Amino acid sequence: MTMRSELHYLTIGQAGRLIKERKLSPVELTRVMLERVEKMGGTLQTYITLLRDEAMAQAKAAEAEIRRGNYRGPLHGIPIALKDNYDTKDVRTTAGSQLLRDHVPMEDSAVAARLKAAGAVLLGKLTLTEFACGGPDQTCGYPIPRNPWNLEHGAGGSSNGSAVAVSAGLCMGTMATCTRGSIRAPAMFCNVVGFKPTYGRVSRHGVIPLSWTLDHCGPITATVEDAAIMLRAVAGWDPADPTSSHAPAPDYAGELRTDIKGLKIGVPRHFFFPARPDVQREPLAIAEAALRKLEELGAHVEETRIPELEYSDAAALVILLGEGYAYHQWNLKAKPEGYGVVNRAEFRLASLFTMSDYVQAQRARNALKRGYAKALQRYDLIVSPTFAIVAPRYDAPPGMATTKMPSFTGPYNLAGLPAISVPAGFTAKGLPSGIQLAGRPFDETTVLRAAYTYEQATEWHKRRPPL
Amino acid sequence: MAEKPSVPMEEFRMLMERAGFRLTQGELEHLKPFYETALALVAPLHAKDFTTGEMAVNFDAAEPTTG
Repeated sequence: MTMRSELHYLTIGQAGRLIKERKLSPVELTRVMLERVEKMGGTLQTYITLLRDEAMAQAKAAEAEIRRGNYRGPLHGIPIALKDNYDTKDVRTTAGSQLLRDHVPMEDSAVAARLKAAGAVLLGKLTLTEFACGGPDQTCGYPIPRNPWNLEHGAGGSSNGSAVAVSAGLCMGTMATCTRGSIRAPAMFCNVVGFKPTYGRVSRHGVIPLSWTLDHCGPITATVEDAAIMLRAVAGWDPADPTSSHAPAPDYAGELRTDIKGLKIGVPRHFFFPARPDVQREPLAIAEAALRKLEELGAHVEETRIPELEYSDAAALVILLGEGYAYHQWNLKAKPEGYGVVNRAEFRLASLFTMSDYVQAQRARNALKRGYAKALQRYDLIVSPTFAIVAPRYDAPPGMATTKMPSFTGPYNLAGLPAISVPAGFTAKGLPSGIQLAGRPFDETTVLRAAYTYEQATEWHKRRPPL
Repeated sequence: MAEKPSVPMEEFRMLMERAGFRLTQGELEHLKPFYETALALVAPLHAKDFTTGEMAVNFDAAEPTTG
């Protein structure tokens, strides 16, 4: 039997099975999680809004419903949280911005509504970088989370609160958002799983936008199984989101199995393993070891080339900031003091991008999509390190989109392909690193299966931060 | 990345004003290096004709986007 002191580190899958068998009380589980947040929250700075009373009320309702025999599924009675750019009815939603510090939506985002329908318990709203853009910025007036693996380090951006909360046992899973890597990078920095599904797989209705053509919704969880469970709950067509897809969403968790024999994996080393001073060697070495492990498990690993990757950083920069500027232009001129120093600067300079910059960026993006489509005719998956560096120091200068460091995650936002980051090892200084597995559009099942197979064959995801 | 260009301050001020921003000298001095970096980052996009990336409006009859 699980000890009360360990409940906060149960996975969603484990807790769900115990709740279904009525061996675990959602009320007790929620109480333990809230106590944990109260204890650690001050140090880790993860929650902008904590919903103590509301969460306990939801947990009591879930428990009563389950007792009556109305078990809704694997999220019923599970304490989760949301990045604070998902609208939540009657609950403040700030997007990490002073402009929205008193914003209380009148309706739930599609994701919040679907999680509610699945019976999940909402513990609260999690910290993020301002408008989910760029890296942490002290001038925005919101807490910046610390990395539970080393409090002198941060958790990147933009879903830093989400990754820290899952890693430290302050919620069992979160829904985050990703425009160029905001799910996978913080997940890697905190030794948890981050999954950006296919563009259109999850409705973005009620999510405060950054870049309409790059934004994605996806889970950050402790395990691949948990990501599969959360994705199933929120995936599927939504009439309120014209970009959402009619593609059927299977039972991702039900289809998980540890078998990748014969799976073909392509590795574009020319882009993802560069010898550059701004790319650290340790994450690359850890990814090399992970590729060897995938080979041991039966996958065929081959080097390949996707030449169009060369333009992905420039294309992502122009599209992200250009669309972001289009959304923010009025407030940027009328209320510039409402923005942090970093975003104010970046959106202002985006006003200087030209029409041909944006058109060329979209053409480069289309070429990249074709490059990936060609590669994915030959390979089932493309695998790489998740990010070029491990978690930056907490006091590092704010990250900017205009950084020269290559983004290993951005190509999948441009191409709209499903991509997951799973824990793959630690640096000599004890900071987590990860690998990224990406697949064909709407083939989340293969991506999850390969990630699950790797995860189950390794021990990295079982490590807990030294808190 | 292409070589980082140097943009004269007066030209930069004029560009920002044309975009609707009347910035202080301090704000301009803070922003200009980022603009120069961005110009260098974006330059490769204009050095290639992306013949496989033509923009188009696509319709997929099998997947309507509204109810």
